[in-house]
Amino acid sequence: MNPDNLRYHTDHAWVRAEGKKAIIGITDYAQGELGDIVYIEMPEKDAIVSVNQEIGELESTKTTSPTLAPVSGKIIEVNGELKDSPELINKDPYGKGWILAIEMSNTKDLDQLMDAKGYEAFIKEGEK
Amino acid sequence: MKRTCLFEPHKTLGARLIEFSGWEMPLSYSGVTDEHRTVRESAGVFDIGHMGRIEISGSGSGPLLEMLIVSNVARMSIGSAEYTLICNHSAGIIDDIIISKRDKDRYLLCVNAGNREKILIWISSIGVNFDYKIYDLTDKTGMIALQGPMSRSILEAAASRDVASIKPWHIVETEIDSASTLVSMTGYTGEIGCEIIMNSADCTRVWTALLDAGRGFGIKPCGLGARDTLRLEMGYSLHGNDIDEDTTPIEAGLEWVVDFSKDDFIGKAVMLEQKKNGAQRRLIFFELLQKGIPRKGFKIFSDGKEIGVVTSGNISPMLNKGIGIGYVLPEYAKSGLEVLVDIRGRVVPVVIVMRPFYSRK
Repeated sequence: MNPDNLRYHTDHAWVRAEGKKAIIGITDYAQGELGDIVYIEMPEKDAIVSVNQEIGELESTKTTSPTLAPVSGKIIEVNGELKDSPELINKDPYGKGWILAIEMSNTKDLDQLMDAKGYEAFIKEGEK
Repeated sequence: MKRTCLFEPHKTLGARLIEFSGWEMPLSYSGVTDEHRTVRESAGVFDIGHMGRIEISGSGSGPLLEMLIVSNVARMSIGSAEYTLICNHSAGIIDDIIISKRDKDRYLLCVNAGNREKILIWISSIGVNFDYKIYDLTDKTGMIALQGPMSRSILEAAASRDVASIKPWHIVETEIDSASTLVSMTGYTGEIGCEIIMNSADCTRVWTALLDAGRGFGIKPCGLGARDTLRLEMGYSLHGNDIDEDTTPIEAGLEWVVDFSKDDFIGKAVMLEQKKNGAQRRLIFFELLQKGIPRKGFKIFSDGKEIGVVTSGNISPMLNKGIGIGYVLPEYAKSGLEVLVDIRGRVVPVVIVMRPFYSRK
């Protein structure tokens, strides 16, 4: 269920690397745990962020959850559609529900992230 | 964790489960927002088996309850139900409950799951000099709420007797799929609907019968998530959030429940004093004027000072804006007044409103 071409952060963010560009969202597991996402606090474009820094907040009918940066760099794009349609994260977490893109300062950050298999094992471990 | 008699159907339906007051309960099935809208537009069924069901009977039951609750027991007619409060000697709210008069000298109390044990102990301490019997039905029975504009039609299709004539706030016995049930025209969503009690062994049968009868009406199973957003949209208090043993009916805007003409009841003196001299704080309902969601514990400000705290908050699925309940200093509890809520460092203007937040046009 988790795409093989992505890298995964322990905070349930996914990263799709295209050269130096890292497109980021939250995983299907994370959206399911959060429930209906009704509001998203988006980071500023051009902000410089480092790994594990809080870059936004997702509000669901159930709870508030901070989103952590899975890689370091500069925020170059934010998904403007989420402002009016935050439910896209629930409906299509790996597609239209992408949250932002970071220009990575060091692509080696990707090596610290899990692959799909590793992430699935990580979720299973957490549910024990 | 305790489980209701509907645990297996919840698993089959793919419910997301959470712990609530010591019970493993469904949070949602198809999603909180979807379930919420379904209840507003057609109908939903909720497992509310975690709620406590306590029967009190005997010649002393009426007088005992008269002391115990703030509303008038003597004036209740057989077959009627009422929302009321159990308070302590300082007028703090021990629980908000539904009381039903089943017969002369026989009452049913439906209490919050987390307060059941506490109430049983409280009743035994207050009841020393009264001739009554108490019977905790909770573990032997289940309870299902059927709520929404289509709930009447669904109940009519599922029940053996004519239920069309039963008025809100009344309770009757009927059969559903040959199972004996007690149907109370009450609820916690603001929609018309009922709450159904049956023996544990019959729970799944009744649940299935309601879902089958409701299929053509668009019925859906709903969890505690939607139950919470539905009650919040109506401005109904949740015990443990908006009311507790440190808040009084006067502070909580629940004075309408209290019958001050009764001779005596527990907490009356303090309530009268607050009524006369004013309370230290008042419950308010507010809507956000910007995007964001208020949550329990967020502080409320005005004129550069802290004036209160949020006790419940979420998004209103029908209004699509943040709504909340909280307490403020009494001078700020004015409908139409704008104050500020601190949402994790972001100060958001809110306007104080009257409940309900949502009503059908």
